[in-house]
Amino acid sequence: MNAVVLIDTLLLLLVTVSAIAIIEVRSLYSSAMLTGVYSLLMALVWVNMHSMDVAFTEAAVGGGISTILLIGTLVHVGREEKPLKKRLHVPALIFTALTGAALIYGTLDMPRFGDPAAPIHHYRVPEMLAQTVGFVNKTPGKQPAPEGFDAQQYRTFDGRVKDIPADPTDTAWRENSPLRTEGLLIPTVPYQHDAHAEPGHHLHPPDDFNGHVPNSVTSLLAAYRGYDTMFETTVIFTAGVSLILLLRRPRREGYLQKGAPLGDQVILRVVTKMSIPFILIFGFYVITHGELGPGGGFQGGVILATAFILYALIFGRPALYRIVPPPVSDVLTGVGVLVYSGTGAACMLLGGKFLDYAFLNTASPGDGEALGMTLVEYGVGITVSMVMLTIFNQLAEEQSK
Amino acid sequence: MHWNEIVTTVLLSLGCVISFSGSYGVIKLPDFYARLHAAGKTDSLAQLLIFLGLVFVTPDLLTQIKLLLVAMVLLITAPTATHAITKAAHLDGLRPWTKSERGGRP
Amino acid sequence: MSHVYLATAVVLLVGAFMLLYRAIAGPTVYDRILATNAIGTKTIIFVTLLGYISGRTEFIDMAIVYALIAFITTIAVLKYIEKGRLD
Repeated sequence: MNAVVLIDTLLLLLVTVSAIAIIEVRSLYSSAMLTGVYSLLMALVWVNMHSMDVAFTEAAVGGGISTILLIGTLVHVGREEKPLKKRLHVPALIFTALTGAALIYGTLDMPRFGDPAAPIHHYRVPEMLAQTVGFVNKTPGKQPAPEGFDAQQYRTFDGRVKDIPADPTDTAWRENSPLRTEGLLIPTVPYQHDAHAEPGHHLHPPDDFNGHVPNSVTSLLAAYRGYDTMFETTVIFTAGVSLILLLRRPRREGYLQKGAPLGDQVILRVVTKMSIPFILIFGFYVITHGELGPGGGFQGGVILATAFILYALIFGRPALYRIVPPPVSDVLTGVGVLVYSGTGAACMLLGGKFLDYAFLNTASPGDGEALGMTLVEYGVGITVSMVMLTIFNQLAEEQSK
Repeated sequence: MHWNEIVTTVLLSLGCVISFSGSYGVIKLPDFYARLHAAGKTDSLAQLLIFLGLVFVTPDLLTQIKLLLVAMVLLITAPTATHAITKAAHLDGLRPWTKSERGGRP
Repeated sequence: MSHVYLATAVVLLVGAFMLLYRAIAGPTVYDRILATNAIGTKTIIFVTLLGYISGRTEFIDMAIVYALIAFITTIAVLKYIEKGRLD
């Protein structure tokens, strides 16, 4: 019973208890607060698994914004649940039990928690680690590692797979992989890199498919799966637009109404004035530092939005509208997506493919990739923060009738 | 054990004891205002002790500064949140429990 | 040294259990808000300790983020209860 398992067990117990409490408690704002606690504990479960980016996003979005927006909906819905007579609905119970059993049966096929023979550790990750990611290169091609970096330690796992070679076209080691003996599927066709098939082949060395950024999650999201992230940002933008279409009233009624600020309480006002610059700077830090450590556009955008929401809570919505007028926040939701696709278009105009960041700086493609990723993360951050602010404004505006 | 590990152990255990006693108080005390004392004060002190304790075992300077930064942020915002809760409860009309209400028993 | 971290983390989790009881069974809503806020503070310390247990120092960023987020959530909930509206 080592540390990870013990902490995991306790955390999952806490999560179960809070989940049952969310269903059982009658008062709706207690449920909203317990939802915040649930999100926070799930973020801890993910911190325990060392997936920091996911934990960041869950804490910021689930524990912060979602709770605030749920409280916002409570204004319309009311404080208590209607009392229902609790009867046992047998078909629903049987269906739920069967679905749960099917899901549990499906997870029996997955590798065990922390198993070094899992497919993720044999397919992409060794190749990515073997390319000495993170060292900004001065010449195209494979760059030398800095002092004291020992790539050898990343190539053996638990003594079972020895010496994964640095050249990804050399795939003989897969014949001896434990995955092959245990009958799991591994790809038998090696990745054939046709060096002359695409523009920019001279900028990408054969073992470089991810960019030269130390945080592998950000580099996967922004470079290897750049299209996905662009469309995710578009989905968030669409959510903001749909909320505007559904909920926005004509201008005269809505947002010049006098809010109910808490600004007459001296302590809260002073502490808020001290904290808001710090939160804003920290939000920008999280967006920019996202390629060197945990963080990224989504998390930083949510933190920026919470700074504005705090201002609206303490000083009232009219004061917020003087700082960020609704036309400005509406336009900025689109500007973020524009920055993202604009970066891709700039890469095309400079001679490469769409979202091929190496063309931004052909003298040193590693720097170009890092620059491209920073730009797209800023695009994501702008869109996410303005959409969260728009949702908050619409929900708070609704009840000023 | 070096001296810094001993200092860290002492500070961490002190923080643990204070935090646990605060949580125990939140269960056992009879009234909201009494529980407020337990949760608010012990939380702020325990986090300060634990973060100060962790400073002594950190190898690099940047992480030490970040730890002190978190401690400062919590030192400012946690008592503010406690104050805001108390003020909201008082404005709502909640009054403290007195001994004569339930025959002298908690 | 890692035993000290682990023991502190377990004590914090047990404290979180006890606060969760108060969050569910508190007679007034302010008990629940208080318990939720205290669970948030314990979580911040817990995240930092998890970083020390596993030997990585990037976890402190998440502690700062959660400290700010918990403060804002508590203020939002209190504003709703005090004024009945969220702006």
